[in-house]
Amino acid sequence: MDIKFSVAFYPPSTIKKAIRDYSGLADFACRKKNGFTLVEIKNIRDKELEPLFRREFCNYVLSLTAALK
Amino acid sequence: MKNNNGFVIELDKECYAGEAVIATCCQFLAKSYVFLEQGDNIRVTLTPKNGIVVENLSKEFKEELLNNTLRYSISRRNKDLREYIVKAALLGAQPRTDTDDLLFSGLQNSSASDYKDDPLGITIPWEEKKVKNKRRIVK
Repeated sequence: MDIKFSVAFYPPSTIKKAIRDYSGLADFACRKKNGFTLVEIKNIRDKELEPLFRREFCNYVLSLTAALK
Repeated sequence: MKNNNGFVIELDKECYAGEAVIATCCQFLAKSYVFLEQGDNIRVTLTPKNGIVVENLSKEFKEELLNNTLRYSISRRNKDLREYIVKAALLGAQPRTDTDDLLFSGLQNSSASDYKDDPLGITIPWEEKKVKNKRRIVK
């Protein structure tokens, strides 16, 4: 699954930190596109977490962003 | 606007500051899943967690957003004053150094001397000064 984070709201540094913190739960790939940070998530270890994984990850990035600002 | 995932709220980016939107979203992280996107407008997707009534959530979000926008604009307006107060408080709390003591004692001494003291002879009229000088020359 892919998530497009707008640079206007989500600084790339917080996304990288979130990926580091979640790296035990799935495989991540991250690249910058014009105005977005594209995060690719694969191989979620716990299949029960899969439906909520994306949303929980987005919430975590947002909480880190708020802490930064 | 209702969506499969919950609510999508479109906000004019000219009216709402990004900081106020993020602060509001953070207040809703415990109740819902929040995702922010930016195009021509700011798009907030709110997906309530279990047991939360969707209609109330959207209403609450808009109210909180207005509160945070007001808070943000007031804090931006008062920024200089706030900084000034903090600087003054920090300077006042600094311990005295030796240099401060020297300056302070110098000030005290200068205030103790009287205005009638005239070590440079400024108050002596120029005629008297001239006469004195002539006498010196004649001698």
